[in-house]
Amino acid sequence: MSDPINANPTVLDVSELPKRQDTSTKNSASPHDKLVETILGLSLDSDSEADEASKDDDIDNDGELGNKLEYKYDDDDDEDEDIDSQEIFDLIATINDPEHPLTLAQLAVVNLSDITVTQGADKTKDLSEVLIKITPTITHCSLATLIGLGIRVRLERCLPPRFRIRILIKEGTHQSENQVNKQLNDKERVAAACENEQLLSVILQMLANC
Amino acid sequence: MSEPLEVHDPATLIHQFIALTTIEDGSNTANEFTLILGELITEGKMSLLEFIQLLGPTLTSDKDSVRSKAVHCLSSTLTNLEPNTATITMKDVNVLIDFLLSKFDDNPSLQYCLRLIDSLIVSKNFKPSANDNLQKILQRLNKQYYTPRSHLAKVRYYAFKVLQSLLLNHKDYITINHYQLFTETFIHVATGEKDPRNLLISFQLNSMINKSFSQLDPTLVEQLFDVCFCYFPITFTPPPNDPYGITSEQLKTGLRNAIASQSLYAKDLFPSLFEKLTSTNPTIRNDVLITLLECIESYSQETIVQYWLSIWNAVKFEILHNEVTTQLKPNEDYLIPPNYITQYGDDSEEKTLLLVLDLFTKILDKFEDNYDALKSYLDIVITELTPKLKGLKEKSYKHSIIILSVLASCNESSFLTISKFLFSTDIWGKYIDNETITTIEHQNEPLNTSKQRDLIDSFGYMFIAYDILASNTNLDDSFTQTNSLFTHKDHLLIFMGQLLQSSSLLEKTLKCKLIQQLTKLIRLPEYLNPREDLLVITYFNDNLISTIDQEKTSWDTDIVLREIVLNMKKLSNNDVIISMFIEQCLPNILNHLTADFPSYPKILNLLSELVFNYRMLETLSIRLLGRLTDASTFAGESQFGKLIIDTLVKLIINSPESILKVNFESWYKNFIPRFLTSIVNHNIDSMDYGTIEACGEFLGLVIRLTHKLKHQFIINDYMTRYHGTSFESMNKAIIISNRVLSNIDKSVDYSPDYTSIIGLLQQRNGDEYLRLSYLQTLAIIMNKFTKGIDEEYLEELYGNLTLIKQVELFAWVIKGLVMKLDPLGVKFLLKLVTKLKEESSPVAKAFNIIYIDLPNFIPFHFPNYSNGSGPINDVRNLNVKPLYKQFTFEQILPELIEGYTSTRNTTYLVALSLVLNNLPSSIYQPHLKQILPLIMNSLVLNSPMLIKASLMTLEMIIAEDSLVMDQLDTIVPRLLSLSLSGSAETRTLSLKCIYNLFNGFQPREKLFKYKQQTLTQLIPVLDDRKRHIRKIACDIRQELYEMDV
Repeated sequence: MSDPINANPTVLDVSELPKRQDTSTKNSASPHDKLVETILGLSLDSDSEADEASKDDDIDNDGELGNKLEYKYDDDDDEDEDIDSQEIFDLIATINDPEHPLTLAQLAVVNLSDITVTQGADKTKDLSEVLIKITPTITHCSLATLIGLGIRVRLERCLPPRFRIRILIKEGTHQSENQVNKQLNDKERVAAACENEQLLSVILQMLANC
Repeated sequence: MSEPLEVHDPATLIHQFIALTTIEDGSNTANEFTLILGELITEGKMSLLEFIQLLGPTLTSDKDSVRSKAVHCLSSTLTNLEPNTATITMKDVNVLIDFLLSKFDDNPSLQYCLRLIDSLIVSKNFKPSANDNLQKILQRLNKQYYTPRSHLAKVRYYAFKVLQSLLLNHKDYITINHYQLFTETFIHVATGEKDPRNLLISFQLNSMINKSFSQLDPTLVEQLFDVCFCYFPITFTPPPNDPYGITSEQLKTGLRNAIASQSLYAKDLFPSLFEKLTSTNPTIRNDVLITLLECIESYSQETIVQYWLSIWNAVKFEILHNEVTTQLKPNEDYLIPPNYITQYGDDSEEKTLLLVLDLFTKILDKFEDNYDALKSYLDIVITELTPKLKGLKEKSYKHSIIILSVLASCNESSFLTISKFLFSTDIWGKYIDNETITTIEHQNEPLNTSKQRDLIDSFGYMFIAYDILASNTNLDDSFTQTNSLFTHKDHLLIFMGQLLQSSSLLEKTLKCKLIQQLTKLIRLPEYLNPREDLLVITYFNDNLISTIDQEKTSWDTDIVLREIVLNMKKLSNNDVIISMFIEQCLPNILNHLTADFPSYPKILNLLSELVFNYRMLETLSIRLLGRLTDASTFAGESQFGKLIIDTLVKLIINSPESILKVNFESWYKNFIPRFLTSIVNHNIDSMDYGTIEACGEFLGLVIRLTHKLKHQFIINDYMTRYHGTSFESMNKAIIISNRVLSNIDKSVDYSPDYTSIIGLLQQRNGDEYLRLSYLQTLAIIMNKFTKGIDEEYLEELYGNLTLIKQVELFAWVIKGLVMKLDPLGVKFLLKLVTKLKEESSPVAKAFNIIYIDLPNFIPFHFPNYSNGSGPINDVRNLNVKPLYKQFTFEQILPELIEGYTSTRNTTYLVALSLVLNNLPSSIYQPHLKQILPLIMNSLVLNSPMLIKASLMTLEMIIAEDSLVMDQLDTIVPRLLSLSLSGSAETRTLSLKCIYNLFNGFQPREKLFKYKQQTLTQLIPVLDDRKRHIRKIACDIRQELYEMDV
């Protein structure tokens, strides 16, 4: 590859990138509380009305073993964790820029605020959509399509098929915005690109740190 | 061949030699002949004369090859003689030398002639003056007779050797009589030399000549200079298979030594070196600078007096115009890193900078006893640097300060001069000097933060200079009291203190720099007095507390706070400072340690970080202990009390040997009774089990660390005061008692009545945790405090195993016994296995109880002790045989496998996986072949518990053994289906197994055929309800996409 066109982009520090805030507080329980739980797990004769036991499925309330024939699907203690924009951001933030040794998030090519997730009403039937607006580092960035393609490949590999992925150039950040947008969201052209061995190997490198 | 050797007829030997030796031969054959010839001469069987007579015809042969071989034979034979044997007399030597010198025009023989001359010179009968031997040799090697260019490197090598031997052995004679001739000869021999091996000798001789002959003629000196400097800068890449193993470094050093050996070279050397300094290649510049450095070190003072100015002018720009931002930090302990020459590569720009600095100090070192030179040197430096120090933003400000600091660190008088200059009104005085500050401030633009940072950094370099000076010399009072750094101490302290106190909380880097430099001031010897130390500590305290008081939750990662902690650690070997810190700061931090303060856990973390010596540990422990006896500490729902105890335990356990010198005996005496009374007698009912366990752990740790002799007292005292002598009703205090029993030495006299506990446990009782605690008590007693248990009694317990309660009780009894490998215990453990044949027996879960590690049955681990087991005080508190798990596992495993294969009863599988989960993998590793099929069977059963246990085992197996390779056909589909159904935990575990399979395994070809299947089947997992499960699925898929055959 020739010399990078934008040799000196602004770089964000990894610590400045947006992170999921609620890093589960559950795990910070003191070692002694864990010990109490472990010891309670040793009980063969738990005759209490088994609040404890239903949380932890290796304690059988009835003292009998091996005869639970059904899995409990609802033992996951709290509600569903839907796919949200932070999750999408985490998926694509670590993609390497094709010409700088930095990630897309560090270069602020992808930003949390530019990711929109629209969930379908019914997960099993309706389509959901992810909309990502990318900001090229310079307005004539020739690699915007490549970056977009990399993001698309990454998301297609990591999102369930009910998601439709739309990738656009953020308004006013690229000279040939419309052309690039068309190219990025044209099924045929994306499919053709993905059959190009050389292009695939570049994308493989971009995704190497994911 | 052996035939003639035995004949020992010299004539034959000589003929053999000439016939059999090839020209370039150092081979053994040649050696053998000459060795025997040598022996004959040594033993007196043949005289030297006879030998030469025998050689005679060949020595004068017309054929080059014969003649040269004859000389070779002569040379080798005589060289092989013991150098000091008297066989060759003085007369012989003289004759031989004359003969050999006459052969100089015989080219093919020359190499052997020189070799023999070389060995003759070393022999004791060589007298340089006799027969004018030495002079003759030198003359022969000179212009008319010896032309180096017409000979091979090998031949020239011996010419150098001859000169080297002459100078090494007869230096005094040469110095008095022939130094001129010797030097001329050397120059003749050395001119135009190119062979690296010869050059090494040439450089060595050059430097020896310069060191030995003091009255050399200037023209000769010039020629000597030419003959070595023409090689500078020398580069050499050794050819492959280089027989001599000469390195480029050897040549460079040799050349440098030669150049540095003669002060008179200076005249020609310096201009040429400076010219080479204009090179753009940093390697060459660095080579020039190192050479300069050595020359300055070894040349005479007069020479340097004469040339320092031109050196300064030539090299100063290397640093002043250097664009490289230097790595020299104002908060290190050195200015020039001690190993920089080896640390940095030859082409490093940083090294150039350091070399120049080093060079400046070497010049100064040279002038140590020459005050005038020193003064004029410093004057010039100061005068030239003054314009660069006008403003803090001048381009070379920092580098100029570094130069001055480096020079100041050399000796007292330079420090006095430079510090006086730097603290003058023009340079630093205008910023820090109160009297002048008002008048001058308006003329300059005011100090902004960035300038303040630069200023503090530049102070830092001078502080380092003082520190270096103090550690290298014994400073006398007149110096320490009069230098400008000292006389400006008050100004400095006020200036830095005001900056630290008044600058905005946002100016964190400035504050950090100030903290570093104030710490440095405390560490400077003979500088601050205790009152001033205290002032600095107060500054630190104020900043620490105001950082904590900020309305920010992340105050603990604030860089100012981190900097204070780091710098206090640097001061931790200063007891006075630590006392001040304990008095000043600790109470203020502890004031924040209340259950109401939202981030009290962070306060506790901060406190434990501040424990860097024994006094801090003791003081902090006592303060924290005080909190524990306070009833409010454990009040309410909060974790406050528990966290304090956790912190204390961690502090003690994590302390390295040097810090953990607390007298725990006195703790037990003074503090523990209050603690226990407050807890056992008052608070315990309102405390949750976790907190009580924490209290117990702490008490156990104190007992474990108290001397063994006290243990009998402790157990008696504890039992009577807090526990009661019997076990008639259930009481929460048993949790604490368990820890006491577990940590008390096993030799104490204590024999509780275990039947009463069993009786107690037989009763129906509500609280599960208490029951489990009493079961632990039972196990501890079985393990430590019973001499032996009646077999009939065990039999009776075993007979009653119909009730779950009985199984549980029996399991804990067996646990206590098995851990000490009691034969009865092992026997009944095996009996327990047979119980598994009853379907849906609760017995299976008993195996978890028996094999699980609980704190009451494992020793405390001290990570910072080399043995991990903490201070040695003879306490043996556990009665656990180290190999009990392995021993019993080997016995029950065949039973379990056999039981399962014959009955297909899942209880065996449950028992096995429960045991495996509690074993280190090294124990079951050898049995994996037998175990794996059973695990595979468990995975297809519909028992969540079994599946979980099996997955955990499988995960360990995948990580360590390639055995699973043969089972991939079953494993992969099963794991994939588990990852779609099952509990969150099962899904996570099975995905982790898949990830490890595809991530770690070699050869990957085997896995490749599962790639497509796995990719497809993981698609639904991408929509899992749990985020972390989706994440693992993504990772696996990414791994698979990258997978290639």
